[in-house]
Amino acid sequence: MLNSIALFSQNCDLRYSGYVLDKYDNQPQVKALVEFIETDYQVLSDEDGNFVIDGICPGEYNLKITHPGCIDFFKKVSIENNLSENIFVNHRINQLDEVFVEDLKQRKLSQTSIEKNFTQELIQKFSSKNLADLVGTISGVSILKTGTNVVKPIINGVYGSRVLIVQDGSKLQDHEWGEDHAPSIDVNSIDRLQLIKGAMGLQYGNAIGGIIKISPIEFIPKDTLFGGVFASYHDNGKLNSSSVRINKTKKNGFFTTLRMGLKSSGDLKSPDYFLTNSGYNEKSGSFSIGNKSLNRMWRLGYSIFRKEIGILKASHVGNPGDIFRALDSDVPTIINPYSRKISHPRQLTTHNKVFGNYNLYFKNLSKINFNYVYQKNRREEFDFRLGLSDEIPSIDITLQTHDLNIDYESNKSGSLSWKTGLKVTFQDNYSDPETGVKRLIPDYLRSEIGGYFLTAFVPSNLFQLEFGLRYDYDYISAKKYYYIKTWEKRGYNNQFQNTIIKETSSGQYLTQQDLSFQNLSSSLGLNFLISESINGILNFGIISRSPSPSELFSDGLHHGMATIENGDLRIKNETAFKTSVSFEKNNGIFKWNINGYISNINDYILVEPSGIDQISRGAFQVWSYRQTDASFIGYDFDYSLNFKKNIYLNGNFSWVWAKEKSNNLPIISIPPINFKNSLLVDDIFEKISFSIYQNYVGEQKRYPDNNFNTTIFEDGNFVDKQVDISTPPKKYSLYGLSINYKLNNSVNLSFDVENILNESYRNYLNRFRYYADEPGRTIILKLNYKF
Amino acid sequence: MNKNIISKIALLSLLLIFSYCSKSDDPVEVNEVEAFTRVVLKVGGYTYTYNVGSPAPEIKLAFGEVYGTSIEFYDASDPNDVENMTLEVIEEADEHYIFYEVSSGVGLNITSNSSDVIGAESKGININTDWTATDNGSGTLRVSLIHQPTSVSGTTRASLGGETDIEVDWPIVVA
Repeated sequence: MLNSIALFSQNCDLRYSGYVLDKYDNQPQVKALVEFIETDYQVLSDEDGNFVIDGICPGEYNLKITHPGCIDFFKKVSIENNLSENIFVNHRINQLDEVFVEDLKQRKLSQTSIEKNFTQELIQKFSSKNLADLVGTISGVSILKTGTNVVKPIINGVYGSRVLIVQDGSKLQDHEWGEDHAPSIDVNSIDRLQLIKGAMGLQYGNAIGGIIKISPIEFIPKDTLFGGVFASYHDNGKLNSSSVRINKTKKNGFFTTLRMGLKSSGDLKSPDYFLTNSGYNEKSGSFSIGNKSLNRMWRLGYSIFRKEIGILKASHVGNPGDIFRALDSDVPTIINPYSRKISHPRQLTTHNKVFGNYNLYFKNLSKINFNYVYQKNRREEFDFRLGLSDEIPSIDITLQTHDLNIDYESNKSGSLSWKTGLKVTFQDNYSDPETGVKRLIPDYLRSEIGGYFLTAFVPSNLFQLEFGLRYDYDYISAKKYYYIKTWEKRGYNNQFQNTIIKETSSGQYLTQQDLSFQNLSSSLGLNFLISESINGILNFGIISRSPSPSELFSDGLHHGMATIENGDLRIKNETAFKTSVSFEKNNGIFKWNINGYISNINDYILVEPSGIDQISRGAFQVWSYRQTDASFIGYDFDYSLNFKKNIYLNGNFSWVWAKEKSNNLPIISIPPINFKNSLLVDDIFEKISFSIYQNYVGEQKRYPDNNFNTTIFEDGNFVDKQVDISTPPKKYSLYGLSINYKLNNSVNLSFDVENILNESYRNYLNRFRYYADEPGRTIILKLNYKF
Repeated sequence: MNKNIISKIALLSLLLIFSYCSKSDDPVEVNEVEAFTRVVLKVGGYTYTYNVGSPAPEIKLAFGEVYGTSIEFYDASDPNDVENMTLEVIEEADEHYIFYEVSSGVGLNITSNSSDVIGAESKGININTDWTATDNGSGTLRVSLIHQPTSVSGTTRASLGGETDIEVDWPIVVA
């Protein structure tokens, strides 16, 4: 990747050598990067921890040693003569550290959390897909879909505001708008991706399910220009995707990155028909600039993401009778020939972001970090509009968020280290009234102030302990119109009468809703060695989160579902008590990891049918948000069997079970049992890798009954018909293959086939499962060129 | 020096808070513009009006009579500004179709009238219809306004496809 020419002067013939050893047990540290910062002198330590740098000019140098799983070591060295010395690094005390170098793939966000690092290879494999598809490869992570293009991750059975996506140091906004909104991220823009299952990410917020963290790579200071080009094609949908990235780094620590990406797909095809209006267009770009030196680092950047998404035509149902007919029909009610055109209904989302980051590293190895992020999300939904131009959206929301974080991290040389930080967030949501449709989410202002404290205690190599505490104050001020009839029907007239500002001539109340929430969360993590190769992790977390604006205020018709969705002003915080335990064996022929959890969530917020509302289109089901005590139990299992030198059998399995405590009824949208197995043959002639995989998804037998009746005219009579929106689809098994050919160090080609048997199936976690099958066989070609 | 930075940031935060709190304009009221809230059937000389939220009135027909009938759609969500949406339907005639279903207890034939508006497949969209009362009885008449029907030649609701914009059930008596 990096190529540079060292400039040697005449007297430059000195040698600096030694061993890199673990401070605690004197174990040699293999492949530690030993470098003089701001120079070209750098080597990796060998099997014995030994390193030798030759051809050094006399002078003062800043030595830096980086090693996977170690804290970065800094020291000033003065070279007058040949010098040999041993360097002791803190191998275990890196719990809170987050200084990443590209090679350090194994470095965890926290030593006592259950987490997964995504390799560059895996991220590249999903470069033409969605973030949720990528994280969905992990055991215990599933995908909630609305159609084929709106996808979001489910971790350990929970989703939405319970899963935090952190990018460039702050929370990615837009979950506030409800379930049918996908995160605005292009997989191509991801350098590093880490996923924490469970409660151990209090630094970032109150996430009951888990945290997905996306962060940039750090560059080695060298004069160089590098980058890559990526292109891919899917035969299904005739998708094409390309991206370019250029990085420029300088010896003095300066770096800049420019990236652009385009993706475009037409209608996808299920085995028997086209999924009309399932295409999309995505454009994204980012630019960042920064400088890293021994005692400070700054970074500034801007990114934009714009995606236009077609919504399956057949999902555009007008009333419950239409849903009944859609369910009753084996094929979608509208099937047109293949087209690349994205027509109504469609969504347009735009995400703009500006960020700035400043780090100060102190001599005692503590550091302080300032991070500011401004995000502007806009979401427009276009429907058929009678008597209006179709170019006037029926939903047009703009959400602006400012996030400011300050973090301080202590010196980590002792057995006790700590980290603390403060977060301030301001948010402004604006729904454009020009739509002429009642606002789904009202105008609101939201301010949040929060702080956290984390501490790690490492008495020995065998045992590590981390404790975290977080407090947030959350204030939402909304101005919302309610139809007086609705207001009274929901019983707001007593409790909230004093929030009414005025009554309008058309029978609406304008109300002022000032709501505040306080959240106190804490976590405790233990990591202990059970035997030489088996490691145990135990996590306890009490996590509290505020209700999101969609849970409080939603008010309107959900077109794709033909339901009316109502938030509830009375909704309060949700608190989870989660215990997870994990055992892992990370070496040897048979590696495995098992993770079990029990999560009791008090005042779990869910949305479900609460009655029927008669509007002119017909009798609609009303879905209301409510709270109940819920209980989740589950486990995930991963294994990797390396039974011959380059042959691996990998797989994972996950199971989750959830119920409402008061009535023992199942909870909606819980992922069914699933397991994946793959056989990988690596390094064939050192160039080719080949894998085949199988993915089994069971039938979810535990689901709440939300069926309702509608009258249908049949053979001259009106008959009551049940609209079965509850029964999950049948189990299915998918197979695929993947061939990767590494032409040389810079060019990589791959060929994949998904759903190779062209299986027709429907997915319980897809809200459009009523209308159409999932896509059929897909052949994917990819080219990756690095320079 | 660090304290300095922190205090600057705190100041900046406060400024932000104040700038946000000063925004106090009331949001504009939205009156839904495309909601159909009223359907009017003019059957012969009689007018039957359905308003959303209350039951549709009973339609009374005399056995053997033929009624020239027209249907009108209104947005009456703002009582001070009732909008006639029928013209919009007529303007987009090729994307709309009005479908009548009569329960088996009632003898009533509904056909497109010569003055009907022509839409998709060169067929009348049933804005103007002739109603012939062929037998005594009582039952229900379901009127659906369908948007973008996949076909307008079928005789069942399922065969027409499309999205239902309005569906109103009227009690009906032929005597």
